[in-house]
Amino acid sequence: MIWAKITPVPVHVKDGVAEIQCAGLNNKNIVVLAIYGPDVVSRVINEGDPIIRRIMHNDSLLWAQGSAKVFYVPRETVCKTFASLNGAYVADTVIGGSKEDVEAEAARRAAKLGKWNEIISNRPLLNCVAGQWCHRLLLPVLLFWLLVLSLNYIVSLDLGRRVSEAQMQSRFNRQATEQAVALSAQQERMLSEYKSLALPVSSSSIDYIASLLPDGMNLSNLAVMRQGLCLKGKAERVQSVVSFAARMSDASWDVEVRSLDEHPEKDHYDFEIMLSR
Amino acid sequence: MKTYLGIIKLVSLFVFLPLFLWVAVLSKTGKQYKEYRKLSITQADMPVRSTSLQLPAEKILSGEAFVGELDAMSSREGFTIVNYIPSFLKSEAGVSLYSAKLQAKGRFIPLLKLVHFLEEKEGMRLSSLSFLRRNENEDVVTLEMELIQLVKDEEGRR
Repeated sequence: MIWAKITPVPVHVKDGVAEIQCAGLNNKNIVVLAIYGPDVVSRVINEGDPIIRRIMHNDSLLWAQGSAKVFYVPRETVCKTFASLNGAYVADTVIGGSKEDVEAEAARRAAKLGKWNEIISNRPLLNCVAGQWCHRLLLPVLLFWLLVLSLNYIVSLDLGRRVSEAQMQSRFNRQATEQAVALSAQQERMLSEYKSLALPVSSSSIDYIASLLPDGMNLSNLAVMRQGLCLKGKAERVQSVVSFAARMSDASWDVEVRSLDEHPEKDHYDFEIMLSR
Repeated sequence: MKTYLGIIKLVSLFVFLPLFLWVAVLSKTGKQYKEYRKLSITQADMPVRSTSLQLPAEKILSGEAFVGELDAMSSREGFTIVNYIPSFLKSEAGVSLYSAKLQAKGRFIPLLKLVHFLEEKEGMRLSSLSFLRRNENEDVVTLEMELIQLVKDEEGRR
């Protein structure tokens, strides 16, 4: 995968003047210079040739080794052209005799330098590639964040409204709950008062008690109270009251004879009995 | 410094800019969202307290339907309603307590049926009950009773 765009740039050197044959370069470009032309001098490589060694050690020459030759050109001639590069980063230089050869070699070098392992091992190149990526992605990234911030503004406005509504609702609910609790307690009090006033169901008991009344025993008052039933009346004999009390006891009632008084005329007894369970 | 300018720019674009935007702007929205969620959950968890007393809203004791029922029963069973006085006792927390004094005259069994009928009737209770026989030579018995009813007021209903 090619991570950086590296452009081969032909440079024609003739009569001590280097001419860049590529327009529109700037400091975001990474280039491989392909130097060719009449000023490029070549020399066949022979083992033990001292001139070859001198060329390679001469700082005023820019040289490159081909398969069988060494090509070289005065460094100063090429350096004059750097101003025309407008700050483009020169990643590599290829020197050759013919334009086709150097362009092909420059394209091959450019493709090789664009690979990740080449970029990461070359810090200036890495910095330049990072700048290139930064330049390329700056606008999309800024647009993305602008979009995010716009959305965030809308969401934030909506959330702010919702939060204030929820806070208001929460306060209202808390107050309503407190009021409901107080109201419920008051209602519970009323209900317990109501229940305390209510008598137990007693019609079947009254019917049952009336059915157990023996002959000679008449009721004048039968009152139902929360603690039981109060019976008042007359009995011809004491035995009648005793018999009734026994029957009620047998029916699991607590019998309390509160009074049993002989009437002044001595013809009957007035009684008061309390029945409870 | 210039050697690293491109790298610094790239790192700034992809690391420092998002970090700055998160700290300066987006985290506040995040906090708002958390607060909103918290409030929503609190509201959902908040017990909905309501006055749950199951009480009738109809005032039976002072209603003509009840008086009509008593009248129909007295005709059917053969006793007499001597008087019937409904009254209001008190009101609190949207709940009112009503009472009614009832006096009836007749034979014991029909009056006992009346007691049974009133005991079985939904929404009311007996708070006092007594049978009186003034003359032992007569079968006529007087029944005196007081009925009570707890009614939920219209505004007390939730």
